Amino acid sequence: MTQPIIEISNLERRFQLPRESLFRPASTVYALNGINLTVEPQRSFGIVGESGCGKSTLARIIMGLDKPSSGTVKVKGKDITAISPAELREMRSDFQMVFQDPFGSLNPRHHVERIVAEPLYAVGDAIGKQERKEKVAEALTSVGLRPTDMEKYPHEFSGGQRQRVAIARALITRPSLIVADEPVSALDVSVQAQVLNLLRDLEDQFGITFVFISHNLAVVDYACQDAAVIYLGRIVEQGPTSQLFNNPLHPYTQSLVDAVPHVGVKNRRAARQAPTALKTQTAAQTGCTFAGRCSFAKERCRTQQPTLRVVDGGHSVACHFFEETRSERASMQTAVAV
Amino acid sequence: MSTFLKNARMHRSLMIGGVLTLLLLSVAVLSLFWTPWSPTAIDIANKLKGPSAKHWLGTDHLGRDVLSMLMSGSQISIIVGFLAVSVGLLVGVALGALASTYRGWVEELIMRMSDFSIAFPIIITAVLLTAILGPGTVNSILAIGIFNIPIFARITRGAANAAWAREYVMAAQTCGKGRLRITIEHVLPNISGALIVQATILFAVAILAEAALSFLGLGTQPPEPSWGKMLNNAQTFVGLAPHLAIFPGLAIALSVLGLNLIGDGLRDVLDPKLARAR
Amino acid sequence: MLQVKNLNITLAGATRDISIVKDVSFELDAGRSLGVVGESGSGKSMTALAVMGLLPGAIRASGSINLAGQELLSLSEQEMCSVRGNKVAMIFQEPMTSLNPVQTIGRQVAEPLTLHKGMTRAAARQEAIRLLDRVGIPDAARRLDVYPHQLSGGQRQRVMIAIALSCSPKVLVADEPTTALDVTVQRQILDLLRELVSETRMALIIISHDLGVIGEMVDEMLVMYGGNVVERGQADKIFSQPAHPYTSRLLEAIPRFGMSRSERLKTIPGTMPEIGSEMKSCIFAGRCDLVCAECLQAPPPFVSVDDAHVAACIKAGRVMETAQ
Repeated sequence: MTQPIIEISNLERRFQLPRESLFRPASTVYALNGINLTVEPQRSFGIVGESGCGKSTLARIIMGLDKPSSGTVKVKGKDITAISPAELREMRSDFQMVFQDPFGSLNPRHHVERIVAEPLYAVGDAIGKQERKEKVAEALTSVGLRPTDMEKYPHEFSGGQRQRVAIARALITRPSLIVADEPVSALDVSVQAQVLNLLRDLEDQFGITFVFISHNLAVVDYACQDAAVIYLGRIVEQGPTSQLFNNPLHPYTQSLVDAVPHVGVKNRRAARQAPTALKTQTAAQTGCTFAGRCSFAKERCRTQQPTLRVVDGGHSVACHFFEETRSERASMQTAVAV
Repeated sequence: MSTFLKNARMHRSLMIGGVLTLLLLSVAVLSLFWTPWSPTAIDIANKLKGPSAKHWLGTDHLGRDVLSMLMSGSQISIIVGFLAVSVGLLVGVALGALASTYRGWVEELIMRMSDFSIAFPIIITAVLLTAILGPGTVNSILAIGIFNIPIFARITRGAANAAWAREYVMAAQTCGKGRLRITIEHVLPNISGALIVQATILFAVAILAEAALSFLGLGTQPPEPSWGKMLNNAQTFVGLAPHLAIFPGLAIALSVLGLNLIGDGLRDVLDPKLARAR
Repeated sequence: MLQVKNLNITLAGATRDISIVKDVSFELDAGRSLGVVGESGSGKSMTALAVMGLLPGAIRASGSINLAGQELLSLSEQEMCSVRGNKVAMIFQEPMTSLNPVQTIGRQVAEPLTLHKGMTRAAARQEAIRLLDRVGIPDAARRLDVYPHQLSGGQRQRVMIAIALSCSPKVLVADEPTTALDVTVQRQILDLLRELVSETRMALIIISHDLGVIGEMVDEMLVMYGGNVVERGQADKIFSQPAHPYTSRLLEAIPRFGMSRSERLKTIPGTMPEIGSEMKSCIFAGRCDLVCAECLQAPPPFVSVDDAHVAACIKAGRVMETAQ
C-alpha cells in the first residue's frame, strides 16, 4: 500500500459573517463541512461542484493558503495544518498550484523568467543565476514554449500561452502534486484541448498527481481518474470518474450530469429536477443538505444526515435512498431511449 | 517605456500639465543663477509701480521687483512641495503597506490613527504644528508632510488590499514567500501608478498649503521671498497696486493647475487596463 | 423576418481601417433560432452588437440589416432607440453588471413598458408582475421591490429576460446568456428561452462559445472564425457532418463523457490570426491539416454541400467524408 498523496479527514471551514445587528450574534457559514478524502499518487483527482460549494476553499486549504477550522490535511503524510511555517515552506516545492485566470495569475510587471523561477525561492538560495536560467528554460520547453520566451512579459502572450507559463511555474520545482483551480475554464475550446493534453502529458512524463477543481464535468472526466462531487460543503458522491459520471447515484450528481448540454441532443426532455437556487448554509442543519432540492426527498432525509456509504469498489455516495434513485433513473433512461 | 511616451503624447491634459510644470521647474532653476533684479533689493523711490519695461511685473511696497520675487519664491514652493510629499510618501506608504501586509490589529491601529488625523483640515493641522514648533520653512514642510501621511497610508492600504486579492500574489504565497516579501516584490510595484498620481496631486496641495501658511505668517519668514508672503503683503495695497496680488495668485494657480493636470493625465496613462489593451 | 446581408464591421484606425467582421449574411424567420458560435476574437459578439445598433465608438457597420422591411443600418440613433428594446432586445453574459444595482427590479422591468408602450405606471407594474412570473421568478408580486444583489445569478438572468421580453420583441439576441451560470441553472435558463421562443414566436439569436449550448438550442447556425463565417447551415447537419475543417476540429476538441484513458483530445495547433490581419489566403490555412497550394492563393468561396449548408472551404466534400 503506497502512502496517499493527500489525506483529508473531518475537514471543516467556517466563516464568520459580519454582524447584521449589534444585538444578534454573527451568523456562521459552513464553507466545508466534514470533508474526508484521499488522493492516491498517480491518480489525478477531480473536485466538482457549482459556484459557492466550497471547492475553491478546499483548494486553498490544501495549498496551505487558508487554515481549516478543524480537521487535518495531510500532504504526503505530514499534517500541513500543524507544522511550522518553516517546515511548510520547505515542503512547498513539492506541491504547487495553477490558477484559473491566466491574466490575473502572472504579475504584469515581471518578465517570464522571474515569474517561472519564483517557486525556486522555496528550495533555497543555493541556485546560481545560470542554473536558474537553465531550469526556467527546461520548464518552458516542457510546456511547449520556447526558452527565449523568458525575456518576454505576460502581456505579450495569448491566454493559452499565459496558462502554459503558469503551468511552467508550477512545474519548475518538479512537484509531485499540482492543485489546479479551474485551469481551463477561461480558455477557448481549441486552446482548452491543448492545455488538457499538456496536463496529461506532464502527468505521464513527470508522475505528477493533479487535484483538478472544475465545474465542467466532462473536463474532469477527461483529466482525472477519481473525483468527488461537493454540494454545500459536503461530499455527496465520490469514486472513479468512469463510474461517477456514467452511473451517478446521488440525485445531485444526476442532475449535474443531466444538465450538461450535449451536441445533438436537441429538444430532449426538460431536466427532471427543477432545483431551486443554491443557498449558502448558515447553520449546521440536520438532515441531508440536498433535501430541499431533491425530488426523492422523504421524511428521513430531513431529519438524518446521510453519510458516505461505499457502493462498490471505490464508489461511495451520501444518500439514504440511492438504490431507488438509481433504479428510477434507469427506467427513465430506457423510457427516453424508447 | 516607448509605449508610455506614445500614450503620454496623445494625452492632452498631460501635455499641458507637463508644459506648465516644466516651466515652473525651469524658472526655479533659472532663479538660482539669475533674476532680473535681486529679489531682496529695496528701492523705496520706485515702490508700488505697475508693470514697465524696467520692472516687467512692477514693484511692491518696498520697491522690490515682483518678477524676481516670484522667480525665487518658486524655489520655496518646489522645495516645500517636494519634501512635504516625500515625507508623506515614505511614512504613509510604509504605514499603509504594513497595514495591508499584516491586517488584523495592525491594520486597525494604523487606519484608526489616520482617520483621527484626517479629521483635521490641512490648515488647522499646519497651524497647530507651527504653533507648537514655531513658524518657518522647515516646520511648514513638516506640518504639510505630516498631513500627507494619512492620505498616503489610506491610498496605499486600499490599493494594496486589492492587489492582495490578485492570483499572482496567491501564487507567490504558494511559493512560501513571507507577507512582507510579497508586499515588496509584488504589491508595491503594482500599485506604484496610483501612488505617483496621488503624489503629483498632493504636490499641488502642498504648494497651496505653503502659500496659505506664509500668508498667515506661519511659513517662510522674510526676507526670503515666498508666494504666500507676497499675497499677504499685497492685501494692504490691493486697491492701489492690484498687480501685487494678481501675479503671485496667478503663479500659484498655474503651478497647482499644472500638477493637477499631470496627475489626471498619469491616472489615465498608467491605468493597467490601458496597458493590457496594448 | 430578419435579413442580414454582407454585413461588414470595421474599426476606423489611425492609418487604415481594421476589418473586424467580413461579409456576414444570414436570414432568420419568426419562431426560429440561430446560433453564432466561435472562439474569442471570432467577431461573434460584434455581429450581435451590430444587429442591436450598439457598436461602440469608432466601429462602423456596412451592408444591410433588414428587420421586417425596416433597414436598421440607415436609421438615426434616435430612430434606432425606438427599435432597440422594442423590436429587438438583448440579454448579456453577466446579469449582475447589466442590471442597475440601485434600482428595484420592478422598476427596471417596467421602464421599457412606460417608455415604448406608453403604459401608466400602475399598468406597467401589473405587466411587470406578469412578466416576472412568466420567466419563473417565484412570488413575483413581492419580488418587484428587491434589488438585483438580493437575487441569485440565475434569477438575475431571468429578470434580464423579463426586461427583454417586456415589449414582445421580434428578435431576441442572447450573448453568452448562460456562460456565467452553473450547469443546473444554465439548464433552466436554456429551457426557459426555448419555451419562450415557441410561445411568442420571436426569433432568437444565441451567441456562445459553448458548442453544447448551441447544439441543443438552435435550428440554424453560423460558425465564425477570425471575423469570417466559415460554415453556415442547419445545426444538426453541421454537428453530424461538419464541412469546414475548423468546425470539424473544434467538435473533436471538446471533452466528452466516457472517453477512455488512452484517448486524446484532438487539438488545433497554432492560434487564431489577429483581428484585422489582411489575409490573401484562406483564414484557416495556417492551422489546417488539409492545406494545399490553392488554399494559399485566395480566400475560398462558399461551397454548397447540401441544402442551405455552405462552408468556406474548397475541400468541404472531403472534410464531410472524413467526419463520417
